[in-house]
Amino acid sequence: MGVVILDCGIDMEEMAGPLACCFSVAVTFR
Amino acid sequence: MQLSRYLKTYPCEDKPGYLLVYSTKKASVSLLPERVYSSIENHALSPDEEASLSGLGIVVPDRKEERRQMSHIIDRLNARNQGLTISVIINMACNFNCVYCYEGSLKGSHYMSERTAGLLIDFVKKRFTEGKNLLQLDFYGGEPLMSSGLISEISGSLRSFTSERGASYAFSLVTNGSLLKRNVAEKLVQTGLASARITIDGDAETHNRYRPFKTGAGSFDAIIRNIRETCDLVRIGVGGNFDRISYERFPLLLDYLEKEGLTPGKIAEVRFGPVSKRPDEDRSPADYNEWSLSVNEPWVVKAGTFLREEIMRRGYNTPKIRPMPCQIEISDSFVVNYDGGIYKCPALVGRDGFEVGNLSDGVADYQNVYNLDLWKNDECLDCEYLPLCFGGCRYMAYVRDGSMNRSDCKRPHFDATLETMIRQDVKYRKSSSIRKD
Repeated sequence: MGVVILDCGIDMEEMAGPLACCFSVAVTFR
Repeated sequence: MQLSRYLKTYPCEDKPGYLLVYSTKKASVSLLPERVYSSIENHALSPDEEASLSGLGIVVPDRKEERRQMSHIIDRLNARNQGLTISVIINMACNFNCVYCYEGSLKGSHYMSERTAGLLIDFVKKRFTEGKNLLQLDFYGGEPLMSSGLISEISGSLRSFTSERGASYAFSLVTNGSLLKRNVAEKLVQTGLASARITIDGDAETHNRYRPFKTGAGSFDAIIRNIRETCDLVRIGVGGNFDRISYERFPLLLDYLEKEGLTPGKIAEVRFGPVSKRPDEDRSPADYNEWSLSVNEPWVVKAGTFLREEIMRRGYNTPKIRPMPCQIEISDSFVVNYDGGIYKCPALVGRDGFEVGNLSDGVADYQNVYNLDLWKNDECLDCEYLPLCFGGCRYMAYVRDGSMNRSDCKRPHFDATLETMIRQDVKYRKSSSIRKD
């Protein structure tokens, strides 16, 4: 059909493992 | 089939007749012929096309049902989570005197005791229930390596525990990098050290001004020396906190790393973020007010996309744009303070009202304390950015409003940055997944 897939992406439900804070508020302050 | 609600579509100037399509819930990126896009709108897709586009999160059987499922996505994610993640504030002591240190008045000579460490180990063992197969600890401070002996003790015990269970264990450090010498890293690797996030704020001159030792001496050279000594033992991530003045100096750091041989193959990840404002009640000795109050601020948008480009064009790895629930929402993720208090967010440790339990008594219900359903409203559920945002950062909401009653909406931020960041990913990541369908 002519779709060019550049990144297949992920399954959201599988991504609960070790997380980085989305905004790194806490992570990068130290 | 209908177009997903959680989709962004951009023009594709370098490939006429195509659209750049990004699914915010799948983080998939595709070039879609305009003809196919019209077929979706006209319900004229073939079964093969429907299957392919469905797998990419571009089409769904029913948008209302998709919205309903999205409102339960975190529950499903928690149910399937086989990991347990504990962030440990092992001390509040530090050998640095950073100008913006948000720990402010919380900082001091406070260390986790042996007794509390024992309670922590018991707590982790209790929470690592059947079905769990990955235990991840993140040691923060203060400066965690001022407690490297205790980290070894805790990790040694938990590594044995997970090994007996046939599960995996690893720990990471969020460190200023000044104490991560090779002999220290060698010892910690034996008990599970896998990665270290080291903060460097720009080139030597800028970094030394923002992150000096307590003595006032510059810390840049010691950190670079330690990275060079340890990058073959430990995955080193370089972080950095920029403000509206300093961000232009950060590319000089990347140039320096390259020049010193700390090339993309030796640095696992580079990620820079804005210095965030502290709550007003914080009393800090630092006379500093160049912080950001929101990622929506124009200078944060400009600096963030500029630095991401500088990182990626040199070949360094930086996080992809992908769905990212706040760790507050993850039921098997906790932050343990040096005194045994349990929290859900590292930024809120030590703040009245945000402790959800302690190592002796366990965890109480924290649904209301952290307003877990913050994003379960029509505005958020209808927003195409929801999977990337989930109501935003509760800490920033708290700093701005003094409460977590309102979301930290990131729509302006994503409106201004997402297209640029997707194009950066397409341009610089040597994707192995490019294929035609």
